[in-house]
Parts: sequence; C-alpha cells; structure tokens
Amino acid sequence: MTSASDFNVATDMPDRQALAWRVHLGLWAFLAVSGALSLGTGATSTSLATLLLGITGIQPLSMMDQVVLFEIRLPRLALGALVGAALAVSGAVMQGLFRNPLADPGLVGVGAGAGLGAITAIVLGGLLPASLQAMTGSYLVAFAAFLGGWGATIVLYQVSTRNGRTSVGTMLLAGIALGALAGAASGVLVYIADDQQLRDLTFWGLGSLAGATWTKVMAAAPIIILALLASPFLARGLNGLALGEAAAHHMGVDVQPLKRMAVLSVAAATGAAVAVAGGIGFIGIVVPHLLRLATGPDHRLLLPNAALLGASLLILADVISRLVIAPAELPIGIVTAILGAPVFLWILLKRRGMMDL
Amino acid sequence: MTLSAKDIQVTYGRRKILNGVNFDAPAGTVSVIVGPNGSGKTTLLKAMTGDVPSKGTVILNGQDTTKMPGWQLASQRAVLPQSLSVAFTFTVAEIVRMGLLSGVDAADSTLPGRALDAVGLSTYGPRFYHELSGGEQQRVQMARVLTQVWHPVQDGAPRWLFLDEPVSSLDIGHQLTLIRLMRDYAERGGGVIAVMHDLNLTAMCADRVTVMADGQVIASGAVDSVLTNEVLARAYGCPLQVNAIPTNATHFVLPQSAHA
Repeated sequence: MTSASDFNVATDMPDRQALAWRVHLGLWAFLAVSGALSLGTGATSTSLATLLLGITGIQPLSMMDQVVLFEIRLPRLALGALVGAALAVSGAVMQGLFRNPLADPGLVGVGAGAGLGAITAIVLGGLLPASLQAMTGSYLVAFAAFLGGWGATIVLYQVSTRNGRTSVGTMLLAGIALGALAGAASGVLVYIADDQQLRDLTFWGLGSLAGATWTKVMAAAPIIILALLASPFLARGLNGLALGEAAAHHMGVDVQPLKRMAVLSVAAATGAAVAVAGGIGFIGIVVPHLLRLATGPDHRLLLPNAALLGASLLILADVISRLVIAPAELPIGIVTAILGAPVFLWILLKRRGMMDL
Repeated sequence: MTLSAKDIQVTYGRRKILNGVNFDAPAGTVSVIVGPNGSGKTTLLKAMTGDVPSKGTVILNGQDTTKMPGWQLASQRAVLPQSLSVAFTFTVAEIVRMGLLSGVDAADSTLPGRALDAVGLSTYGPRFYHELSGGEQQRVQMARVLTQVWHPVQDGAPRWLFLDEPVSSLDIGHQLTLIRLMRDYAERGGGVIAVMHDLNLTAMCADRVTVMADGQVIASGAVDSVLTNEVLARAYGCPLQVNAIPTNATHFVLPQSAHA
C-alpha cells in the first residue's frame, strides 16, 4: 500500500458519469420536443403553428383555441409528464430497493393495490360523512390509492425479502398473489357499484390521460413532486444497497430509514399516478432499463434521467394514442403495453441464465 | 485502543453456535481466527460486525458498537464479507468508489484509484464487475474496503479491517499481495481481524491467532504458543506437524497422512 505512490496512479478513472450528464441534457430537449408535439396534436385542428403564433402574440388565439390549449391540452400534457415521471422513478427506486431490474410497481401488485385503493374510494367514498367528503375532495382517490400501494409494497417486501436478499421468484409470485387478491376485492366493489361509478371505473381502469383536468393535475402534483424531490436523497443509499443490505450498512448507509423512505415514495408516486391515470404499465420497467443500458446503474443520475425519459415517453405514447384511430382515442395503457411488453420479454430473454427462479 | 468482544452468544433456532466467546484484538496487530468448518469463526466475525443477532458486548475503540450510529461505525471499521452478490452492471471503479459512501474520506477522490492499485487492479476501473473472475471480484471488494478506511489511524484513533476469508479464492501471488496489505495496515497502526483457512498463511501474517472449535475458543495468543501440534490436533481432529522454516523461524504446518 505504501508503494501506491510509486506507481502511475490512475486517479481519473473513466466512467459513465459524464455520458449520463450529456444524456441528462439531451433528455430535457427530448421532453421539450415531446411536449410541443403533444400540444400540437388533438381532436381539433388547433395546430402547433397556431399555438406558437398565438403565444408569441403574432396572431392572437381564437376563443376556441384558447380553450383547447388551456383547458384540454396543457392539463393533459402536465398530467402526462407527472404520471410518466412518477411511474419511471417508482420503477427505478423499486428496482434499486429489491436489487432487481424486474421489480416494477405495475408487475408486482403495487399498482393493483393502488388500484384497489382508488376503486374503494370511488365506490365507497360516498359513504363518508359529507363534511369529510368536502374536505378531502379530489384528493380522496389519490390518498386511497397511496394507502393501497403502500400496503401492497410492505406485504411484498416482507414476503419476498429475507436477510436483506430478495428472491426474484418469490417476489414475482407474491406479486401475482397480491394482484389477484386486489383484483378480486376490486371485482366485488365493481359488482356493488352503481351506473355512474361503473362509468368512472371503466374510463379509469383502461388507463388514460383523456380525462385530464387541472383538478386532477392539482390532486396528483403535490404527491408526485414530493416523491420526485425525495428521490435524490435515496440515490446514494440505493447504490450501496446494490451490494446487499449488510454491505450497505457497513459502508455507512442507514438502511432502515432508506427502505422506509423508498417504500413510501414508491407507494405515493404510484398511488397518485394510478389514481389520476389508471393502470399504465411498463413505463416503470422499460425506462430505467434503457437508461441503465446507456449510462449505467448509478442512481444519482438514473433517477432524474428516469423522470425525464418517463415523462417524455408517456407524453409521446399519449400522442400516439390520439393519432392511431383518430378522431377516437386508444387508451394509453394499451399503447404502453404494446410497446413495453416486448421490451420486458427481451430483458427476460437476456437475463434467463441469471434468474434464480 | 482495542477491539474487545465479551461473552458473545449466537443461537440459530435452538442450536447454540457460539456459547460465550471472548475475543480481544489490539490495534497495530493482525489477529487471525482459524478453525475447522463449522467451528463458528465466521459467525464470531459476523457477531462482532453486527451481521448476525447475538448477545454480549463488542467494544470498538472504547465504544459499544451497538450504541454507535451507522456512519460512525463506517468511519472506524470496514467489513469484507466472504461473498457478495452485486445487483446491476456496475463497473469496478463504481464499486470501489462506494467505499467513499460513508463520507469520511470523501474529499479524497484519489483513494479508489490508489486502493485498486494496491490490490493489483489499477487498469480494471472501467471493466464490468460481473465479468470478472471470483478472485478478481474479491480483490475489487478489498479495494472498496480499503478505500473506506484508507488511513489506518484517523484523528488519533485506529481504524479496523474485518476480513472474512480475504484470500480464500486468490492465487498464491495475490494471496501474498493481500497478506502484505494486511501487515502493512497493522504496522501503520490499524487493526486487522481476519478469518482464514490457510494455516501457513496465518503463521506468516498473524501477530495473534485464535483457534476455534465447536463454537468455542480453544487457544488464543501469539503464533508460537497457539500453533502447536496439540492444539491443532484437538481443533481439526487429525495429526498435524508444526515446524519452523530454519532461515526465518516462520512456522509451517504439514498434514501427516492422507489416510485415516
């Protein structure tokens, strides 16, 4: 060791951090482009050019264009960005927590748990005292979804993790069981729901940004933004956790608070996303995976990059959902599944030899 | 300054693995724990690092380790486990840099490079950890551990390396590299506690040896007094002959027969 200084010491080890920063800048540009596309696409003929002319003041927007921009497309864009970022970051955090790239809130029952929470709030929310209903307002569904996702995450972690090691097989099977249980409970609620609630549930269950309103945006935004703001504080700990709980502890990571905070933020972000946009799958698994391939698994840049790419991709998927069968719309959950499921299969194919199922 | 473990008891289910073991290691020495498979030597190390639930007290530099916050422990001791599964495709450099997570030496970003150099892997930084051989992975982990407590003495207090079979999967050349690192660390004032299998390497590097069998310490002390025919026969249940290399008086151990 004393001889170390005698050698030509490589202090500037090449790494992927610089690349990750360049990707980070690129992703901001990608988000801007996706956002512009989204604002310029829709059922009405209001084009991006019209909107640009209007915003720059060259040719004032018509009454209708203003309504389209401010009441339909902007809230939809905001909701898409929030939900996409929430799903992607939740996926990345959960994968770090479970030390496995296949852990995704949608796949392992957390989404189903959040869904059960949301359905419970939609169907049984009317049973709450009127004063409480007025107080909770549009937050009730989001909060119930958070509780459902939180409960599911805790059960999942308890079942599948032993001595700081997560068994992939147990995790996925426990996820199936949780999903089935939440599905069955949701089924009972659907059975007792009235017609109006059934309409709400159907729209919501398909996964869509079509019903985006500022009310929905404001219901989801505080929770999702809080969870996103928490994620940078998880990054270093999640890096250490990649070596296992014991090693992370020995390196000075406070493992228990880290786990609690990770579970809370996953449940909050997933719950809020599910509450306002329904079941949108695969963003949480595809986005972190692509980023890890490109720039490595260091969570310090993986998490912010996942937020940006998740937001951009969901906005693009929403544009696609509005275009393919225009003037009708395909539920966005179908678009993300068609694009995401093959990627998931591809990950499985590559990792077949490494799975300890 | 010492590490002092008193009355350590570990129970798995109903089975007692360790039944009131005492263990002391002064800073500035290499203390090696040896013993046959299942004798409890790794369990003792894990009990001292808090990796298995145990009764008893572990005092590190005068403080009860169960009452020290995680960051403080991490700043005074680093732990090299026997094996480690790493999730995701981290590079060697990224793994070694995790040694700076505790934040104590975080200002010195040259440490990971120096640590990699010390274990003979100075060019391995950009390579993928999961593509390395078992022995190379073990050396990468050693570099990470060294990065964490690079200076053997910090603010007047010794720092400690807890190593569980640090040389078990290494070739003989790199076994010697690591043995020298351990000796060097101790000679500059740090404490080294290692579980080892190889009695000859133990004789070569240890200042103090603790022999365990059936969850108990059967001998502990300087190499000459502990590595004897009687003690080893009792611990391992087979005849072993301890000799000394005439030129430098280092002990070596030879099995006496391939037959039962």
